Amino acid sequence: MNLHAQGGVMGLEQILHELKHFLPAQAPLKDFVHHNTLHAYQHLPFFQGLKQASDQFGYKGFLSLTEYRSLYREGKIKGAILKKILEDQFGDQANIWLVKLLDESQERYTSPKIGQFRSHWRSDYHFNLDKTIHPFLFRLLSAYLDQGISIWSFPLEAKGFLDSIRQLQLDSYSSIFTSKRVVKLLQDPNLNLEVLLKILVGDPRGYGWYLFDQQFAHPGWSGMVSVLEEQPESLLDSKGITLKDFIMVECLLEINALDKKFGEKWVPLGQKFSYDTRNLFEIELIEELDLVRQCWQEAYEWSYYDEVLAGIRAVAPTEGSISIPSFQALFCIDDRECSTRRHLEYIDPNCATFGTPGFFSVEFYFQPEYGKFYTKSCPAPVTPKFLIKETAKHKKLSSDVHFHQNNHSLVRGWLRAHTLGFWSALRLVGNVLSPSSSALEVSSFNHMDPKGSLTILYRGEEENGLQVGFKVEEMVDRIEGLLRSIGLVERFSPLVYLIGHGASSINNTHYAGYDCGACCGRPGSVNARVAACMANYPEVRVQLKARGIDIPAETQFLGGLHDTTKDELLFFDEDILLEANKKLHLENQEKFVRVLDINSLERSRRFDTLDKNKSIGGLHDAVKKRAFSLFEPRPEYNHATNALCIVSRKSTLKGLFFDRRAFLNSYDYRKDVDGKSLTRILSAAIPVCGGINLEYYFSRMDPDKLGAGTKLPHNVMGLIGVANGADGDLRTGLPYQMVEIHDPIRLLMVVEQVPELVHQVINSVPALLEWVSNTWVHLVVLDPNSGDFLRWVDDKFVVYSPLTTVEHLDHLQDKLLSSQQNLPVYLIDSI
Amino acid sequence: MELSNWIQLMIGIPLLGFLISLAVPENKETWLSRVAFFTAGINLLSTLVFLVFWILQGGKDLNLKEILLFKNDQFEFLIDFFFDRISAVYLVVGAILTFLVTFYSRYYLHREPG
Repeated sequence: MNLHAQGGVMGLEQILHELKHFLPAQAPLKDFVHHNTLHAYQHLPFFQGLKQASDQFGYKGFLSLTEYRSLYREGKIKGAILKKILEDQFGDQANIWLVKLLDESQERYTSPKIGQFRSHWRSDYHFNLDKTIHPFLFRLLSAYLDQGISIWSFPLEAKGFLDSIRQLQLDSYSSIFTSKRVVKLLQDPNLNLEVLLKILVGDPRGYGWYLFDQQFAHPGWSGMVSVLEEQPESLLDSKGITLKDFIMVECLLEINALDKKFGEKWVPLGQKFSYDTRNLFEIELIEELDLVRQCWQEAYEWSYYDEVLAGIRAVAPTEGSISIPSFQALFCIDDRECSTRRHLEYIDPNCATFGTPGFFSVEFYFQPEYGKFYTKSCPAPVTPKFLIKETAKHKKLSSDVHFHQNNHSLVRGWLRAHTLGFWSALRLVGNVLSPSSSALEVSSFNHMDPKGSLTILYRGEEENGLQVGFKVEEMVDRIEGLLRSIGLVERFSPLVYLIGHGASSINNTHYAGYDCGACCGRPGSVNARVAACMANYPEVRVQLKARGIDIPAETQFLGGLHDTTKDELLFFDEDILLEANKKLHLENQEKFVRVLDINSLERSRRFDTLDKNKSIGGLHDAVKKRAFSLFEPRPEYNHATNALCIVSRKSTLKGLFFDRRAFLNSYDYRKDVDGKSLTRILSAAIPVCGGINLEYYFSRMDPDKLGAGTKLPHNVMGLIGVANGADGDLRTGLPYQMVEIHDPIRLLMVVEQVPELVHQVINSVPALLEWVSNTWVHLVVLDPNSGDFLRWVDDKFVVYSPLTTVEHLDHLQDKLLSSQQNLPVYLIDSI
Repeated sequence: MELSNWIQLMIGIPLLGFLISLAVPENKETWLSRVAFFTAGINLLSTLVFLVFWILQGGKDLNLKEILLFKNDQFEFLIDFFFDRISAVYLVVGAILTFLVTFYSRYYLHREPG
């Protein structure tokens, strides 16, 4: 942010640039990917960022003092941790500050700067401009951007928002604008934003503040326009739009409304009230109340982190086994797979599980059979050069006559209501009483036809600048990268599973947020299948051997997909298995069935409305039903409660229960002496897991401004976003139902590696350094030589000794259903 | 029991449920939901049973005691409880819809204030 540093008046281009930087960066619903909601402040230390966000925009980044005090009384904020934090921060003044925290400090609310300038329209001109403009503006924009939900589409080809409005004005019998001045302005080919702001504001020093006020009166729509300007490919039905165009249309509507109210002779706002844009971005000083909140938040976070580190310390060191595991299974690092891996390792103690980002190091666009468009199947920042096309065995997806768009038209709607309507009503009643799968369900298993084939091997075909399939050497690079990053370079089992994940739900606008983040919000089925197929190619094996990874001929890789909502698992290409492996696979499948049953039992403890007095099979069935219950706003809790990302060997965490709160990335420090794998892992894990964590953090801290509020009144707008009612602003962030059980704490990264190497890796990537040194994530290194924990503080490592001890449990299930709250870290003997 | 008395008693079921719900603290969601569920369930059940008896007795129109609100020489304004085939359809549809809404609200409105 360099507005403040600049002297004089800011140029409009610079103001627009800063606006885009601050506006929400949430993509359309189908591409929903978690990110740091306050990304605009990431260049500042975390708490300074919260202070700025609070003073400028009124965003809440903390719980209330009452909530912190209540957590302290409940023991969720531990006295010893709070004491340590206060002593570290204030030395011998710690006790004085303890009194402030526990008793003296009072909550204080101040009005944010944003909105103050434009509020004079209402207070001094006695005109509610937003109420007059917004409903019409939102309808106009939503019709323009519509992706197929409207009955009447926008009448012009959408090549530019302002040009379309201009054309609409010229072609229409009636007029959008009533002011002659505005009609004249609109027809002027040299019309620019400065002309409009001169009429509205007058004083150039206030242009920036005015535009921030104006756009942050509806950050959802403005943010969407800004995202679409940067990523026009996010819309399948292409619509040209720029933020500048959108602002100009809004300014024209404002002038039109003001002219209508006052005639053309009204005084511009900036000539009556002087506001200087630079003051909007002044760095705010940290006050006593800010320090009190910071200490509470740190104590809240370290009360949990301390348990985690104490747990890791309590794990008994094990000698690495030299025998070959019964099978190996690679899962996504996703926190929802944390429990699946734990159950699998207890059901078959001889197996080995690994965590790696769920795109399995193969990046491509996927084009399903009958699909017109390509969908990205790798982390959002990656731009793939490859295309995987599907040849499906099923027929075109069936449609359901009960949900046809014609239902909304007058004559056909009337006919359908009188014919199909009765049966629709009966079906609806049946679905309410006994939910079952329907055409409305978004099922992870439908993403790809498991019986179809994929163009994995490159055969000289190119399409739209993309290479269809991979060359053998490209496959080798990816499989080598995958295996080396997790330290799996020897002792291969006969079966190596690559298990992606996806989710199923119905009536859920945020469905993309439930799938695999590493696959750009899509199920990981195609990636798992492609990577397994690559690893099975004989030519790939030969080249891998030349690179030092010798995979035995009898080892076979098998792709699969775990539906995390229903807790179901589907394997792909099972017919390629050798006879011996088929037999092993059948045995393993029984283990997976048991794992999924226990996993659904563990998940069921969070579902308040689910009757727990059932057998384990009955509980699993009840959990499955949530995926297709029309009236269930919580099909699953997705990443809620996430708090950790651990990059280590599995043996370092053996027997630890993290209550599905950890992203687990497998990493063997002994096989990465130069830190190359660690750089790759952290470059993905910190922004992805940190982004997920902070989106949950802020949506939970401020459900109204940074979250999407309750999802019940959400209406889908143009198939790109949701709004409350028909004329509201788009709601960004996560609905309250997704975050209600989330404890808002930052992510703790734990990395098992020598500290010097971690320091070097973090410093080698500026983006990582920003995340860590500004404490948007916490970093602790587990030094494998000394066993010490080293916490990153002010760009150096400081030894941290856990204060708590963890409880030892013989049998996890004794505790599981005892509480819906987050459970502490346990060391467990069996599930 | 006379059908005309029975139908008057049925009006009391939702009313009673509403009064009980006022006595349940707002934070006891499970209890509130049970009260609503049983009220709507009993209402639906009694409606269906009533209809069976009403049909068995010939499905005749029921015209219950009038409450005279205003009367002069030219005009008479009264409240008349009248039940016929059309009322029967509305009664059943209303009871079914109320029951369904109550049923799914247990999940849909879970943890919603108000």
